[in-house]
Amino acid sequence: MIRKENITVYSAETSKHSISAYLRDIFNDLPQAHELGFRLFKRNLTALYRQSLLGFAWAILPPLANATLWIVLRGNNVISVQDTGVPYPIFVLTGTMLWQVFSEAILAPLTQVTENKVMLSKINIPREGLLLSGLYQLIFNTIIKVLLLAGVFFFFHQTVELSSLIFVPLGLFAIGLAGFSIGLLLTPLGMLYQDVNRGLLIILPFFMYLTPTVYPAPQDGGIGLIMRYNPIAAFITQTRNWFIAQPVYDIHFFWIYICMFALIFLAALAIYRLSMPMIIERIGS
Amino acid sequence: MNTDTLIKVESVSKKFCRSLKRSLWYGVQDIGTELIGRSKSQELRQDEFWAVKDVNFELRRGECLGLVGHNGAGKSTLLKMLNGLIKPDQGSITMKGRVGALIELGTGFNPILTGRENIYSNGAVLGFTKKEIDQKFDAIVDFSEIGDFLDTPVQNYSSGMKVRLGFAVAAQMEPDILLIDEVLAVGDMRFRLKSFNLIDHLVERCSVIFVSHSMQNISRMCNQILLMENGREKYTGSNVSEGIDEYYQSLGSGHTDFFHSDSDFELLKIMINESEDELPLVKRLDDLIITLCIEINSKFENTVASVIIFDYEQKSVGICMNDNPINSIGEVISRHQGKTRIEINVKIPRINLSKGIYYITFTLTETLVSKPVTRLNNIKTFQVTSLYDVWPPFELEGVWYKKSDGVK
Repeated sequence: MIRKENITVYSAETSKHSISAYLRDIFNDLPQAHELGFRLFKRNLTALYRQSLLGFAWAILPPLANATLWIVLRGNNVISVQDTGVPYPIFVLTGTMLWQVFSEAILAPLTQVTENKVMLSKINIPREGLLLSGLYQLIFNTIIKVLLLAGVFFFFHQTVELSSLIFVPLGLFAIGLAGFSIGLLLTPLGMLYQDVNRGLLIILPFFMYLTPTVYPAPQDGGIGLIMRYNPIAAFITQTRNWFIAQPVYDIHFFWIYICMFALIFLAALAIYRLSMPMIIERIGS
Repeated sequence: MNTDTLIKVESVSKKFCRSLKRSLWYGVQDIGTELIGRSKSQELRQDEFWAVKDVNFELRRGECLGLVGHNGAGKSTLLKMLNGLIKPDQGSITMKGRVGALIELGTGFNPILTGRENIYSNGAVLGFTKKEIDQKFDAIVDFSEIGDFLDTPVQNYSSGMKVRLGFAVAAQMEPDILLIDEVLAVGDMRFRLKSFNLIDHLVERCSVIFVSHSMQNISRMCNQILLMENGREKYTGSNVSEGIDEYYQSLGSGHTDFFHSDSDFELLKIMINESEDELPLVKRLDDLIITLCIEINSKFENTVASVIIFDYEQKSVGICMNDNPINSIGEVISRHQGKTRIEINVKIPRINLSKGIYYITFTLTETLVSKPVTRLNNIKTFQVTSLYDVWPPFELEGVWYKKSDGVK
């Protein structure tokens, strides 16, 4: 309720024809969206941990469990993974953590709007607030994961270079951006059809193994080619290399992919804004 | 006070689709056409219908529009468009100023969190900043009357308490345009009165759109009325009482006759003022004559009869009874095979019911104070017409005078 004496027109005619017009609107609504998003984030967080014994541990348990499995498998020589240059637990834990960031980011927008369907269809809220709420939660969970990683690094006496402190956040940003953009792009369709959410839940684990999370990226062969052009693989490998202070391998692709996802993100944001009224009338409550 | 136009609705229409599967697919198509910048088709696709069609009105500050109509007439859809939740398919809506909606109370409540925490979440959903809520916090708690339960999880609240808390937060809005949808129907009597007072207060400085099925509330609050039927305007104007009449007429005698006979009792005929019309009209202060022809088991000949009048909301407004047995006050037409046929007439002179729809229930009891032998609910509907539109059930005749003129 910040607006004063302004005029709002709802018309059948589309008044805006450019993405920039939508983005300008979104930018103008940002303070209100933040107010709502942050409140919802706090609400969800308080409620979540008030009703849970393990609390924050849930942010790290899934990747931890996954990593443990791989450590056990490799330790018993069930599978063989080539030398990773650092203790394998560090390698696999960093990989699965980063993957988890990606997969949480991809699911965040759709989860938020689905959970708040009633609110969307009954009250005129700044709808980007829901996305922000998801974003804040993602950032919060990521921070917890990084803290855990720091503990593990400390345990294995793994050294962290000073440059890591600068580049790791950049890598995390890239992974988050990639996930969030894809998720946001799928959100309008996902609100109409449940197939999107179900499909994601099947595809994500499969895709995880096409990404060098638990093994180092092979340099050649078919898989090597896929990895090279798989932006998520580039992001995760790169970010992990920054984490464990290994040589950076192809920074150009990294930047190209970031620009690509930034564009996807802006387009998805505009599509979200434009399609919401049309979705709300179809889903009701 | 300035009385500028705050709401302008120009030939607004909205289509809906009956089949969910198709509806979702149309949704995908519509988003697609919007994305490539083409205009949507104006025609109805398969399974679509106009939920709202060609609605026009304007509302100034200080005016209150009553939006009435049957279930499914399009009221809520129109309200959703006004609230900016969905877009019109045709026409346009211009809203000037801040819009507040009392439509869904307590949205954003999380059952696990306390009342205190939920005030902040709900407030954020309604567009308040944390600072604003800090300032209004005491007022909210006061208004909600939840007292000691402020720090209890909302899941332990009674439903009334939840509604009160939700209303108390929503009541802090200072809108130019207020949309209200029946939310006043909840809560106990005292809280309802309090809410009404608050809304009366808000109405003075904003434009209000009020959706209700209670004609009493409509006539109490509104100075404009829009009656919708099948998505179209059936009546628009400032003559609220005429609109309410139209509304009642469109209802007809919809929900009469539960049962008209059992083995001991059969209603053969009922007339009002000699008329067998479906919905007879009675002018206020005319006599109301009810004629009943019944056939009863002869052993009930000595029972006594009452006529009870109910209003449209099924509240009883009056009873007319006689302690003489029906075979003496009514005319026995025949006695045959243990059944007695009797015609009863009852005249209620100068009926002073206020305008509206009323129902007649007929009962037979052994004595005036005993339980009914038989009871026929809503056997007849009639409509009272009057010049004025008032919300109390009676429009009493009074003599207003000066003492110096002497008592009339």
